Amino acid sequence: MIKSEALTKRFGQTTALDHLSTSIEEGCIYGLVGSNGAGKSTFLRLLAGIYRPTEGSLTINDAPVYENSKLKQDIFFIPDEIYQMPGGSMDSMARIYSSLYSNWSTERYTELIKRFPIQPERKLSACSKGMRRQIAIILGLSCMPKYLLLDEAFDGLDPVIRVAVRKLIADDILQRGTTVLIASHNLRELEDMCDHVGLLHGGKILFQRELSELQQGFAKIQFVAKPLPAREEFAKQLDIISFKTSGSIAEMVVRGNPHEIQQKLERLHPLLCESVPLTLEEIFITEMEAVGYDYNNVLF
Amino acid sequence: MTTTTSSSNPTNSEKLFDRQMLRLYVNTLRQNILPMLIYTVCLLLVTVFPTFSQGNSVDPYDPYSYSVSASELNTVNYVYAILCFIIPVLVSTMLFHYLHNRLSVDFYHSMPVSRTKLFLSRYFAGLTFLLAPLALSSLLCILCQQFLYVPLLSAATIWQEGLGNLGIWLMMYTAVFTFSCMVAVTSSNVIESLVYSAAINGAVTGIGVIFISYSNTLYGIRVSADPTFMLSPYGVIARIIDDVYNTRSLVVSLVWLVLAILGVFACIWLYRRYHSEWAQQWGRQSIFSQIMKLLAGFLMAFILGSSVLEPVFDNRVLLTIVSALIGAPLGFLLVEGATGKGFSSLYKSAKFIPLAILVCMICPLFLATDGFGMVSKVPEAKDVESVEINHYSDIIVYARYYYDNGSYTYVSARENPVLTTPEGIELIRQLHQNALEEQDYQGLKGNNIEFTYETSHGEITRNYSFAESDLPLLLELYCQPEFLQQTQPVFFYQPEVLGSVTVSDCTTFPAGSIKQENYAQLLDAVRTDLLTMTSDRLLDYTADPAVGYLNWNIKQKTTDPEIEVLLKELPYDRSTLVIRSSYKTTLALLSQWGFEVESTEQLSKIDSVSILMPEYSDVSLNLGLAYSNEYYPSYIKNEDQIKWQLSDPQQIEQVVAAASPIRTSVACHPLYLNFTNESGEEVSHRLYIENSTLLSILKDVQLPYLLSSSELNDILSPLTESNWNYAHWMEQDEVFDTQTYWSVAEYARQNDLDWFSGKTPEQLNAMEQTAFYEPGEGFPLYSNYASMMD
Repeated sequence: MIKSEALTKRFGQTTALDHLSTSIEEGCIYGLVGSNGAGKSTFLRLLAGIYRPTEGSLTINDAPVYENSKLKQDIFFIPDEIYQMPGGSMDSMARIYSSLYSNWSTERYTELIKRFPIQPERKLSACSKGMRRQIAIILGLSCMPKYLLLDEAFDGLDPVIRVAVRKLIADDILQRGTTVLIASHNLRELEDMCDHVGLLHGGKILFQRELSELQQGFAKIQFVAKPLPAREEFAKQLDIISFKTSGSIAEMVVRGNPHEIQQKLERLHPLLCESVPLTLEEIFITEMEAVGYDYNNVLF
Repeated sequence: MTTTTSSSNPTNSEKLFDRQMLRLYVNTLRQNILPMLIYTVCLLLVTVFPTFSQGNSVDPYDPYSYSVSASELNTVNYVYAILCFIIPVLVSTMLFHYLHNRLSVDFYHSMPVSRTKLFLSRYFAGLTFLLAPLALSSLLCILCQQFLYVPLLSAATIWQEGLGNLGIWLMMYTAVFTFSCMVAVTSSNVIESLVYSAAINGAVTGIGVIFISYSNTLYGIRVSADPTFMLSPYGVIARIIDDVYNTRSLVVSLVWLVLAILGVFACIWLYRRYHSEWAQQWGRQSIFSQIMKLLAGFLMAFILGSSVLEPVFDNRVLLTIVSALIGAPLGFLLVEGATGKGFSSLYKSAKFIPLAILVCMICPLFLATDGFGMVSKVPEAKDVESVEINHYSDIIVYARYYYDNGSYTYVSARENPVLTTPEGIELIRQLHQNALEEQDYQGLKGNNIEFTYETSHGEITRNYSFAESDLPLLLELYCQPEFLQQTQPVFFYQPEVLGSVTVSDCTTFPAGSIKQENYAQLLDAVRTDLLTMTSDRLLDYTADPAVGYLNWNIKQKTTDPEIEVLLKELPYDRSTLVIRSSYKTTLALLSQWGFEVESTEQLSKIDSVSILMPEYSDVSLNLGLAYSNEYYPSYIKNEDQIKWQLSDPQQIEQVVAAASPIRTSVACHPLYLNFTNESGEEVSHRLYIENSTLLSILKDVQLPYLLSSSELNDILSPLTESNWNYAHWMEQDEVFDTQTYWSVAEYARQNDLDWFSGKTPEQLNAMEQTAFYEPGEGFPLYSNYASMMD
């Protein structure tokens, strides 16, 4: 289990992570979302052993990560920007990784090469951004890690490769119980892949839970009635996050169990009352608005 | 709550030198193989081929056509030295360049490798890159030399010299590389890595040299910069470049190798504290970077003060203050701009600029307080254990060469006597005190003497020019038995090393040779007589005239190994001892052996006497009791020489009788007694005669007036000004050209100088006739004088 306690990381005067405490179970696909500068990449780099925590602790199975080369054998980090080793190719990188990771699987590497349209001897400098990301994923999976850390995992990948990568990761989790952490702004993709989500803002975890549970905690309601009750009428019974009206139609986002919300609204005798679950993106925006981080504050 | 700042984790224990380390090492070699191959090829081109060419020009079977010593073989040391300044710094920056880029540092630090292992694999790869080509180059050069120089030099000598050099370079390259790595694993960008690596490898020496330079501008202070060169790797390289393989270099290199080994641990410690987020940062403020900027400010202040601003300010204190005010911020900002890629972070570090200025203000304070009181310090007699004297005079000519293994080696004379007696030490203290009172900052007034006190607190070295008024003290010093025994050649000669000893009469003509079995007895007698010399007689050849000469000739070669050792250790070559009338023991012995040195029978053999003008070297005061100069006719036949020829036997006799073998003041003419020797060669012996004496003897000959030492003192100050550049060599017909030039007398009158008191009529007449000064142009006659006494 990945566990952090009061994890803090400062860069000079800037606090990237501020007493972040969380735990991530083994075998889950954890989506790390957050605003720009929330600390997602910092958290991943701490987990990869690149950064040293300023305060607090970060452990995997009760062992600290930093300068723990034995533990790092089970961790593979794919950053948002892939390093191009001068004069390197996928094969030369594979040689390096195979010499460092004791779990390196040449069979897996060979198998993955066949699946992806990449020439292993091609120089990295001659590869596109997407191709380098594919290479990183191939190499990472070939290291057979227990913990796969992905920062903007699918950035630059075409839709076909995205699907392939998602499938590979899912297979890995199923077969080997790999724990995957993905930091991304592509919430739609995360929604399809992840079973756990954590929202970071200002260096702290705003919330973290199972995706299904998260989605069950919000409802988007379309309510039609003549006359339409005032917002206050609704607010008596519901925890309203956002409320818009257009004539006889009210659209509102409400926190709570959608089924219970539906039941409460039926008492108001609507002409129409429909409830749909929020997407992760909508949840993200909603929660961000709650902490004052919304697009209305962005000047155009 | 636990933190992960410590890496002492039980699960983290790993074997350091394992297959993973080997693979990292090999990968590093592979990644950087191309630049290193290029470097190796270039190194071989600039070392092996020149060595081969140099050796190819030698005929090893003809030692007389070319001589070479073992140390001369290794001119490639200059190449190794230059490369040692540069290549290790570049290699360290190259190998740890991944720390300067965020992407690469993420890559390497995310790998399941400890930082220790990561560092060591690259460190050893760096050593391989540096030391393997060096060793290959050296070995190939040695092989070339063996092929080309044997039997001129033995193979053992070649290999010993070559491998010795190689060992020292291997150690110094390791040292420079290690300290560069220390910087590389803490720096955020390439500029920092390069600049700070160079600084750390030379800063201490640089600072030391600067302080010593300032110290040596203080009156009388002489501090050797030599020790400071040993305080940094760059300093060591600069010091040993001319003579790499010797005991001192070996010891110093070993010390630096040990420091380098300790440095490896420091590197690991520093690297483990390196924060990955530092990568690619420009202008990162750390205590190390601030120290570097302070040092840069200090260095810039010194550079400005000793170059650009130096001609502007006469006052040294003011010069250093202005240099500090301008140079300190300038140096600081230069490093700030270079390592910060601009001045965006200047607001963070600007507060250190006043500190840089303050640090530099130590220099003017140092100068204003005369080195914090160092200048005026005269050690107490009770604290002085001994004092070593270095007098820059004719003693230096007592040098010799000896033939050793195919080459002639110069052995410098023992010119630094060490006095331990209270009397000798007190004389030096008095001279020291006089010099402080004299305040001759420009060093114009007299002989230059350097002495080093050995005290219970350490060494104190001072260097002063002594005025004419100190001559009595100097004479007393030179007559100290300790001084005589450590400077006069006869005290070093042993009967076994003497090839021949001949006697010359008072006219310098040969009077015979001493038998070998009498050498020991003669040496004892001479030594006894020399130790009776007193200061009042040393330069007074009237009271204690020269009555003859003993010519000591040293064996040049021998097959006796014991004598060979003695010859190698002998500091002096041949010399001629002046026999004074007071040397009773010696004269009695010579008389007993049938030598009548005081005879003037040979005077008639002198064909002529040439009277010359004194030259620069002739102005030097010589307080020796012997000399070793021999001149040939071609010298005095030089048409450019200003000279007067005497051929009248009566004049010759008078002049020779009044002459002395050694110049007794600055106003002495060199005299050359010209005659034909037994082999039919035209030769000359040199004597000296006081100008005043010559004028009184040769009243009918128009001769110039020579300035006395006090009169030279009066004009020395103008001589050091710009019109010194207009001085020129006199021609014979210009000596008495008082139409074009002011005469000596006219100059004295125009400048209100009291040069007329106590002069004889002949001298006064000569002063009126001798050309001296061209108004607005300078002193043509005395262009050969640089100071009163050398």
